[in-house]
Amino acid sequence: MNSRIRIVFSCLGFLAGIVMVRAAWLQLFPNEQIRKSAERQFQTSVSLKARRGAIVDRHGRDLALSETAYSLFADPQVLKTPRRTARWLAHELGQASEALIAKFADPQKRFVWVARTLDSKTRDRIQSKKIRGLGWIEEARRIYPNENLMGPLLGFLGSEGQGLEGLELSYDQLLNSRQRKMDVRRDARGRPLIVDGQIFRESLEGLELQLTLDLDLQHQLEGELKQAVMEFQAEQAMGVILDARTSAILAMANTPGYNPNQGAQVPSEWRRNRSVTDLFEPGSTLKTFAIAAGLREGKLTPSKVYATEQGRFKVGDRIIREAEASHNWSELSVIDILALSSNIGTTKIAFEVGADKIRQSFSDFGFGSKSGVDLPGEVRGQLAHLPWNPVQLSNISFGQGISTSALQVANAYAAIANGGVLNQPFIVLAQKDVHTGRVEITKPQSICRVLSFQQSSQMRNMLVAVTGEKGTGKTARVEGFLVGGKTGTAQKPNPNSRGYLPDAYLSSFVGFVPAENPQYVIAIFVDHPKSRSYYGSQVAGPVFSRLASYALRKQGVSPLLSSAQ
Amino acid sequence: MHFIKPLGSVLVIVGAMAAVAHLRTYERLLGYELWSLHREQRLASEEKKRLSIELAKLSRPQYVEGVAQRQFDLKKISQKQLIRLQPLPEVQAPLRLGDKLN
Repeated sequence: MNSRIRIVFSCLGFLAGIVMVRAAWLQLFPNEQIRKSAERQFQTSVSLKARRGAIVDRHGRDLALSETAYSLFADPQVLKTPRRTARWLAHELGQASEALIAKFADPQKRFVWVARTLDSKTRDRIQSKKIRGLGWIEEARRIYPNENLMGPLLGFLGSEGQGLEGLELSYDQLLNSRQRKMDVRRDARGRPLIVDGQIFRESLEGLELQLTLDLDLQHQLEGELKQAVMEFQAEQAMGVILDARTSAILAMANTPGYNPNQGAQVPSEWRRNRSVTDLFEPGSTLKTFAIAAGLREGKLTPSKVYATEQGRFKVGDRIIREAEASHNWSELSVIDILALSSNIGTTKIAFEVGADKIRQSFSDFGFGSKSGVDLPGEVRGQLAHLPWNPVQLSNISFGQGISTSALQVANAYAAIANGGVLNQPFIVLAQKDVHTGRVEITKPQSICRVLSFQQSSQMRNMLVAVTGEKGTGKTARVEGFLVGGKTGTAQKPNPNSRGYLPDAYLSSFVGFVPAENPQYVIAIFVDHPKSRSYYGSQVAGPVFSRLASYALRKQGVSPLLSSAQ
Repeated sequence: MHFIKPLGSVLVIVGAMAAVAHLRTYERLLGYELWSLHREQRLASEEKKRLSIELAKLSRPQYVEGVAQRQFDLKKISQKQLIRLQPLPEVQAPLRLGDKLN
């Protein structure tokens, strides 16, 4: 009996020994396949939800935000009553039931989208029905609470959360933070075991962008542009407001614009931020820079007088005329050439300064090259290479045969307003890491000095004369403040052939306020006004005046002059 | 008496193992609590986000302007509504006893 028990125990002991030796072997010399299998058994994946960073204005008001949304999918093979489910879902989601029935009827598919980016209430309502074969995926939805305001500037996202236009595109990398998965150990019920708090330390939110834009100023600008388009039956309008000292963009708009919440449904030509992407011949607003070139080269003083040939001046085989037949001046001072916007006077100045110096001056003021603004799609404009024939020099001196963007013109005026330094315009004031609180503030960048302080002061004084009693820019005045600026009424080039379109103009006013210590540079361009008037002084001047008045009042700038002065 | 020493050792070992097991269980419990708190925090932050979006929609300038004009009959500001700030005249403080006269 005893021997039998011994044998049985010995056998069991031997088997236990084998198991123990094997266990020890596996512990000491782990097998890769078994290790992977164990990991699968004890590990689970936790999704760390990413959220795109917000965009706010200079005062911290929200312009673009992301919220969690829920996307519904279905597995048609698991659905018990596909037709009934499709009809019920269509009713709940406000969709056509036929499309859903067709989706669910495909026996090959194991995954079909039912609806994307639904809110939590809709998800709870559908989830409460506990329908087998329906599932949810968490996604982020981008919201633009200001709707139509600054649509072309902000841009919008594609269906996979990638920036497609505007700032959403140019700052896509910084704003975006990709969703990540993290492997953690799990318990028997599949719940993740939190051991070292790693999940909570992970931050996946993109950077928050604080813009230089002022939401109120933007609203005023867009409202005024819309009103101008309606009043003058124009094709479109553009406007830019810059901080005169730094070239920070305070407002930028074109109308018609669009609502970025429905960005994908809008035709592509409406999505353009035209102040940066579109080129045009600026017309008389460029005379300022021909005169600035004369000042730079020491060829003229504000009081120097030029013969203006009674309104007709032959250059090569062409006759240069003033804008109106009644403008048959015989001679004008430089101040008057600018104030009355004389084509012949500007031509005479350009001839005296010379094509190479005029071109150099225009190039220094930023024409013909990108300003370097942090917005997508910026164009460089066209500034013809030398040599220029006399007709070409004459035309370019008063803004024909050269193309610029609205931002380029505004920025060049900012250089005159701020004491002679050309700055790089910018729109992002700061980048903020919401988790660490680290803020990176954008420093304004100077490109080059284009005028001495004294020359810029002389230019400002001459531009103030434009809004004087006999100047073309009288309508741009702001009660109580000195305004400097220049009107423009440019013929529109014919896109299909040489020459210009009949009765098609770009009306503009570009200026700065208050002229003695400029804070704002405002550029207004109204494209092809068809009713009432087409002169820059009558179409764009009043828009400038209202905007400047609002901006100064908002900023709390005290008036310099009483209404009687 | 000579049984006490091994018994004590066994008790110490068993006690230590029980303490380790208890601490591990406690760590797990804390982990679960942390997980559920994390979920609650996430829901709260989502709610906060939703409310801030609603606030941004309600405070957008075009909406505020519309409400001001429709419901409160306010008019759009005009260019002439500028307030001219005059410097305040200097007011001399009244003399008190002990003040020196110039």
